[in-house]
Amino acid sequence: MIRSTLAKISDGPRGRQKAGFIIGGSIGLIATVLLALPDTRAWHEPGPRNTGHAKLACTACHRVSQGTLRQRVQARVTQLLDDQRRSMSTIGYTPVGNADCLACHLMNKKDAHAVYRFMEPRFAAVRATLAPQLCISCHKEHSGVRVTAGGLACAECHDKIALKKDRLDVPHATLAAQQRWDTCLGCHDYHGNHAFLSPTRLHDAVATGQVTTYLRGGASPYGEAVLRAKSTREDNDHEI
Amino acid sequence: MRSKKFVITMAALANLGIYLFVAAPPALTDDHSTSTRVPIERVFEILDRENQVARKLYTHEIVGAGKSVGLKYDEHWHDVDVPAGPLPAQFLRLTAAALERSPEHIGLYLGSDAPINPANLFTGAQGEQFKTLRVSRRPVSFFVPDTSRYAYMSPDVASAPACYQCHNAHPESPKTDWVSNDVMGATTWTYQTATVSNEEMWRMITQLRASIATAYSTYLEKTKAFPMPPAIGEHWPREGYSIPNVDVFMAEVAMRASAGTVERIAALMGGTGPQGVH
Repeated sequence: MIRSTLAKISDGPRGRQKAGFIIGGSIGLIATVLLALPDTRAWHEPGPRNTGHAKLACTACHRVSQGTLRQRVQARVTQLLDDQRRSMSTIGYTPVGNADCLACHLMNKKDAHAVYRFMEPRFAAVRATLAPQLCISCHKEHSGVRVTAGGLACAECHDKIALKKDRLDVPHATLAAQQRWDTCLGCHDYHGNHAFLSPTRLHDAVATGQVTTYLRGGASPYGEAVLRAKSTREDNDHEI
Repeated sequence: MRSKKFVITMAALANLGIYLFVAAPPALTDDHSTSTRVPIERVFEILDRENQVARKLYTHEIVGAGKSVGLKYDEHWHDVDVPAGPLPAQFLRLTAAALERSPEHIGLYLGSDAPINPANLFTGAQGEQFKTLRVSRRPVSFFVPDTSRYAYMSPDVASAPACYQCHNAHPESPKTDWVSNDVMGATTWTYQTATVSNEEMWRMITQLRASIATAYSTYLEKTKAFPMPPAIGEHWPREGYSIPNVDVFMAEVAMRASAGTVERIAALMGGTGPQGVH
């Protein structure tokens, strides 16, 4: 039946062009419907979710822009024509940023590496190299792991470390001089989200392999988490 | 043919214009677009003064008086097994963390050219600006190109003996001869725009106070885990082994800060600036 219909349409001038439009349009429509189904989500995700994010809805991070489509178009055009409008407006979804991460991941009060601290003017050099002020610099989503940063460049900020009263049996200054930056995370839980006490002997530090496994999504070598992410951003809305 | 296309194009553009602007729904709100703008430097002055009032209150009435009745304050206060509250500098950091979580993303930092923790050493533009500030003892403002933020640094002067005595005695301190009235460091504020609307200014002040309350609440929570928790209520440490609840603490902050803040805002509204307001 489809063949006979197409044969009829294909008759006459520009018939084949019409048939092409119909076939292409139909394929496009079917693909759009399929991709819109919740069960086909994985087909159009850039990659597997990062550790702990498998059960999140897409809209947990990808928030629909405010207003109606018409209002958004209007705001974008106004932005183009009139520089006075500075509130960013996006057509479909708002860009995912630190605020979306922090909506569930509360900032640890003892976090020495909280992202906002790197917005301080003096961190300009490390912002240019590592961009630690952005969650996604180390936790690029849809990568299927916990941490995506290739190597935590502790040296960027701590290369001159020298403690007058060093608790570690091998002085920090010695480790820095020997560029043993792979040992840092053996004693220091980067964001301090676990009940982990730094050892005083380098021998007792968490093995580099265990740290690597953890960064790739494995079990924590730092013990029990003292601060867990909220299941949804709404769980966290009452907190500033 | 060409004129026909031109007419159709013009008609389409006219329709788009009508769709977007003439028959358009209400425009999306733009918090930044109101006509009256306040220079961010003036807002920083207000915020900085409010913060100084809260920090001074915490330093003298909570830490200072608290120590005299047996309460402890320690740089490792956040450790579960340390029954102590945060030091004044750490109280500022708690305030800063709460501020950053607020929608306005106001940056607040504390640093020095001789910090106990080398990671807090002023470098780059901040280091250069601090040299000027140390001599003039007056706040400085500058722009941070890579973050597109406006910065304001105000001197952090050694006022309470407990502050500089502790820094002098700390084993990691690179400088051990601090004396009263020294510029020990600077408080840095950052914000994303050069000017703000009146509404934004009010929100920023409100958010600072909410963040101070959050910081103080964090201390209160910690005291509940002390082996001998102090009474939390109406009374201050100078009256005994007790500490004020967050409402009492914030009421005192408001009482000490509000007059100055209102005077500064009134001066701004009158267009005369904050000169002469103390």
